[in-house]
Amino acid sequence: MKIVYYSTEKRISKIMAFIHLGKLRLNNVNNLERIIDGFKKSKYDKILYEPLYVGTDCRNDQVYIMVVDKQKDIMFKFISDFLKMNSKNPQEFIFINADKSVGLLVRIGIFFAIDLGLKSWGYHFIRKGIDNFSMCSLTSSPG
Amino acid sequence: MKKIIYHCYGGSHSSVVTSAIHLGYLSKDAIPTPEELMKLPFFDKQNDADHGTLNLMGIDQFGNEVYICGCRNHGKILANVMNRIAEIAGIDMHSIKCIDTLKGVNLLMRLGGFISRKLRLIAIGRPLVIKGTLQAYDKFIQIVAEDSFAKQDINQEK
Repeated sequence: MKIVYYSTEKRISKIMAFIHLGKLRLNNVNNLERIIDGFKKSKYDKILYEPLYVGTDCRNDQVYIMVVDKQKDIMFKFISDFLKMNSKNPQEFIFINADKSVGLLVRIGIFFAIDLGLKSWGYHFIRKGIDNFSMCSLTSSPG
Repeated sequence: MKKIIYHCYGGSHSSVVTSAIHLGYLSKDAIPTPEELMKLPFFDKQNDADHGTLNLMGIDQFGNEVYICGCRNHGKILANVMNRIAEIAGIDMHSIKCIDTLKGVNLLMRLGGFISRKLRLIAIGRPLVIKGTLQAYDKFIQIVAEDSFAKQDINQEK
């Protein structure tokens, strides 16, 4: 199974994927700084609809992140048809909308920490946001 | 067996005509009549809800499957998306080719297509898009001729 967290902003899907993989636990966000520091903007942030592998979870499912835009419905339809055309089962891919699952506090935190460079404020908001919001229904990380 | 995907904005006009030329539904030697265009499957028929769908137009004489797709303004990224998905899903991309037919589209086709498909004013838009298609027909023949698979097929034919 391939699990793809998608969002209009790469870091949102990355947070979801990291929680899924157990790299960012809901009850322990001490490693947040290290992870957020790896969220610096890059030219790859704007590459649309190309899943980026971030790890394999404890069920041996591959976890990916993907950046989307407003045309996501037609592109998902295209990807599904493309897989069917090649005799692959589209249900092998699970697409999860990370934008819907991440709360406002996390967004504000990312903006403060990365875009404004106000890390302590940013991390505080992100921690609050993650603590307050059950973000990942598919979390398979042990413990 | 190969798979060829002709794609444009709406999957209603340029991709339909180009794939029809490839499949031999339309002649490479003569400009078709408006009636011949209207007989083509999907010509000036697809709407917004159909965008993103891969429709099989037919199988050419060499057994290649020919598809059409309307992918709005994502034509330029389509090949990269397919390559990446294929890599993840274990699909061999050597037998798949996607061809952007938007480069053959003229202003009249854009205008007529918008009026007919988006505004649904078919009585006004369809004559314009048909006129535009007939004017741009040589370009669509050229797109098919440039396609390496088509060239290969021509060579096989010889």
